[in-house]
Amino acid sequence: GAAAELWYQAGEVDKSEWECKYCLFESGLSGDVQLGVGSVDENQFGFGNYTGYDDDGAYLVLGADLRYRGEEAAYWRLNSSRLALDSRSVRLEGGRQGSYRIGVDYLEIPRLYSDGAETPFTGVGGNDLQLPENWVKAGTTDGMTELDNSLRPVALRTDRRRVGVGVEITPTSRWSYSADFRRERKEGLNVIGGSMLFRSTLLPEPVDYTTEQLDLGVGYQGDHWNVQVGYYGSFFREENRSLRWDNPFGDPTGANEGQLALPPDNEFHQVTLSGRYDVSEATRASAKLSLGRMTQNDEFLPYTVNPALTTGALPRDSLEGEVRTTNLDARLVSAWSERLTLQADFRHDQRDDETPTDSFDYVSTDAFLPGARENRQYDRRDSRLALQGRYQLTPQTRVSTGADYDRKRRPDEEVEETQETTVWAEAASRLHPTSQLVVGLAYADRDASEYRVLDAAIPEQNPLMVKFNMASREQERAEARLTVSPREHIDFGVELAFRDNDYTDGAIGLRSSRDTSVSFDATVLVSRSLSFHGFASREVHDNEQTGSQDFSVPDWFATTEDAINSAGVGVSWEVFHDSFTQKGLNLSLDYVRSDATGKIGIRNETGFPDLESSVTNVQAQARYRFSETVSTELAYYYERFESDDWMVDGVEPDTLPTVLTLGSEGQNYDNHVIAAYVRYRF
Amino acid sequence: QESEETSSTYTDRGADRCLKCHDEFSEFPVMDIFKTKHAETSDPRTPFAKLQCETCHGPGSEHADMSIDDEEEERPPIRDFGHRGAETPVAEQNAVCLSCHDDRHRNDWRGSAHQTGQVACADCHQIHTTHDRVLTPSEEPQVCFQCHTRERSESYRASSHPLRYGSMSCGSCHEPHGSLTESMLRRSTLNQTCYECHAEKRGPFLWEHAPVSEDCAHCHQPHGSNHPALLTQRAPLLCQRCHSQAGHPSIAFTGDLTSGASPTAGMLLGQSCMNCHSQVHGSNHPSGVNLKR
Repeated sequence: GAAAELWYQAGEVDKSEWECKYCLFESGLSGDVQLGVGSVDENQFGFGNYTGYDDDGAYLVLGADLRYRGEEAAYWRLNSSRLALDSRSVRLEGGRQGSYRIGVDYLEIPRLYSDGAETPFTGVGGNDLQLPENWVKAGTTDGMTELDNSLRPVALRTDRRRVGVGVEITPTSRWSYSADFRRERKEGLNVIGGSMLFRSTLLPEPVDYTTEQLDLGVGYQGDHWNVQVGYYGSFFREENRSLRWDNPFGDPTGANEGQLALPPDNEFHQVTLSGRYDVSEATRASAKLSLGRMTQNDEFLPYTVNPALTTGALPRDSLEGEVRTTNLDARLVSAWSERLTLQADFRHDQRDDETPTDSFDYVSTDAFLPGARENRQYDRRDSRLALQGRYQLTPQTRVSTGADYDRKRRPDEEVEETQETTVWAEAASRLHPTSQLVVGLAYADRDASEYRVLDAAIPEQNPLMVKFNMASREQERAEARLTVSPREHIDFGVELAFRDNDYTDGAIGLRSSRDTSVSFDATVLVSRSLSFHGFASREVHDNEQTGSQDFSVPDWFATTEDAINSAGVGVSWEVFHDSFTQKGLNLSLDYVRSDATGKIGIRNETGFPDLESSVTNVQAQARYRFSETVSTELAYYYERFESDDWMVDGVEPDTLPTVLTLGSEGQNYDNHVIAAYVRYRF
Repeated sequence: QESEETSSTYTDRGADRCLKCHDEFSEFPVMDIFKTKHAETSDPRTPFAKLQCETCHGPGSEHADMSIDDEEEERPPIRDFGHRGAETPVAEQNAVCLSCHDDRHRNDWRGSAHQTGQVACADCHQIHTTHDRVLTPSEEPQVCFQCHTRERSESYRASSHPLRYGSMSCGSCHEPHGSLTESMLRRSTLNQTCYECHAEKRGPFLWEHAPVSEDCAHCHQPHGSNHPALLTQRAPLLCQRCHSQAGHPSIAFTGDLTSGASPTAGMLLGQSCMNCHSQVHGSNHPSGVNLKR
């Protein structure tokens, strides 16, 4: 192609006078560091979600972006941000170009759910939750007379801390070896429901996860082909096996305590063979085969912690769970002629569940023995073939079309097989040298084999229910995108997208869903020193579904509609810049607002209250450069989040008679951060 | 498509000819390339170990030879990259980059959505800078959002992955240079990708919740949602898409939620269905068959 004609002339070029005397090759250490102070205006928990800005007051602004270039292509690079906050990250990479690379990174992610939660339990954070000794049990929360005296605040948050190290060695241009290891800890408190007959208690769930991941790879690059062999291992550990709690309700069955299982330790091992072969310059084949094995063998908890119940013996001490995965992906793409490109993609995903099945004489909610149930295995096969052709109709217009065939087999579920055929077409046209229109349409038809009601479902499933993921379906999709650049550095874009799903089997469950969106975006570079950008979008997601309270024909009809409007504008302005002294002033401002409304209606009934949420985000920065090396910066960050959420708003621990909640409401906040710091570039 | 053949040859002095005009004060400043890996003469693979600027921009004598005072005539173009309306066709631009970078990391570039959608390497990557935003994980999403405007809007939803906060990048899940999976995912399937960070949901469990092990996206919208935990819909309706069992799972909301005493309130408020069926991702408890333990 175009490239091949160019390089190879290199040997023929007379470079005797190429001195590169104006080439300012960099060596040694360079980069920039930031040092200063920031201040969070108010103490608002939700504002700290992902940002680390949950405490008010001053914090240190400290960041560094350093580069080092040494002899013989040696280099180091350090990036860091928010070093003094709980959302800090550091990345160090170095090595010798073309020979080896070593990387180390560290990242923290704070996830803050709620600090307004309250619980009467002691032992929060551990796996044994106890009620105070003077607790007064009652059948409903209003009779729990010691509740108010016992409530203690609890902050629901988890923190991830991840360390990674990696190395890649390329001793020759042919061979490459790589190893990457990551270890992540996730600690904190989440919410989990513990039920007891017809009562439930929302509990602070301890989270103490460790996930270790290892990627190993070796690859060989031939002249027109390459091949890689890889291993991926993932090892998950949870320190707590279970969560036990005292039952705060007076239970007619006498169950005084309950015990929940926490996620079991598990492992995933996968070997991958991948590569490509260039049949000719015009034709390439690539493929990837992955064989995996998921295992889990944590010791089982007892059926119940209720000593009043007599249970049979467990059929086994642990699951010996094992699932084998096979994933084969392949692609053949060929430029058939100057104008026509043909492509075939094949994918096969297979899940073989080797987990043994047994009959379990289970105990319902530590309260009574309803009978025995057998665990189920789920084998699945998903094969998909996609063919497409792309044709350059005119120099300005290209048309593409394709057909996909997807067969899914689920021998252990209600529908044994679905077959889906999709046809699509797209046209992309340069209406003008700087304007482009792309229009795409697709239609998909999914046929499902007969729906079987599984014996194991207790209580019994309505025979008119057909689960949407395996139901016959007609899908229509349309997308259009227009980009216009009336002048260089002025870009406008409009995008419309539509997707409609109709589920044609059965009479109960999800019947249809529809997503529509329209978005507009613009970038205008008025000059080298002044630019504007903006966007606006509206998305609507609709669903229709039915249900049957009488366990017969549909007797209720629901519609849900989520509508989201978002808009943002930004400006970046270099107020002045003296190219001689390097003095200068830069300003930037970004504003984004997003409003969402969720409506759930039930035909002929009042329906649910509306769900509302709104995000307003402002980020502004002013940078004054004193010289080429020193500048001072002022940064402002503002975010407001408001929500009306009937699910949690006003739900105090004792609001619901049958559920003792944590009383955690939505995390509304409205807060600012201002920071001033000096940046030194060298 | 290839640009028309030009009669231009390589310049007599290489980069020195280019840098006479393209200095720090020019309209297209390029000097920061000397702080990057591309300008490493002791690495024989780099442009500056080959034909310097002209390695990528092509023979530049015609472009360079024109007198700076001759404002009437338009300067013959060199191969240019990136911005919309660039003279050089995208395929030719990308061929230049791929002449070095067509390695195992680009095996699936051909036929990928970005390639067939005529995305130029330089649409995302900046070469003449020390700070290529798309290679800085905390800033990478802002580059992707320039085209993926829907995902940008979704990142501002009440529930989202920390993309706009810089703690996660689009590249955490997606392989922008193409992969053979749907949506150009890094791992072989969607679930395998999600389990990288959510391994506690991988199991296998004694009691599996069938749709979970099939496809996380049956219930979750990974780019952002206004329902908690990135759910596609609010419980109980989310659950009632598939559950219409005899008894309480099938009841419609018919009460008044302003009073907690409403007969259905205990099943709707707080965590809704998950007040009791809390182990929606699967349970390994011998009594967890209904996902309540």
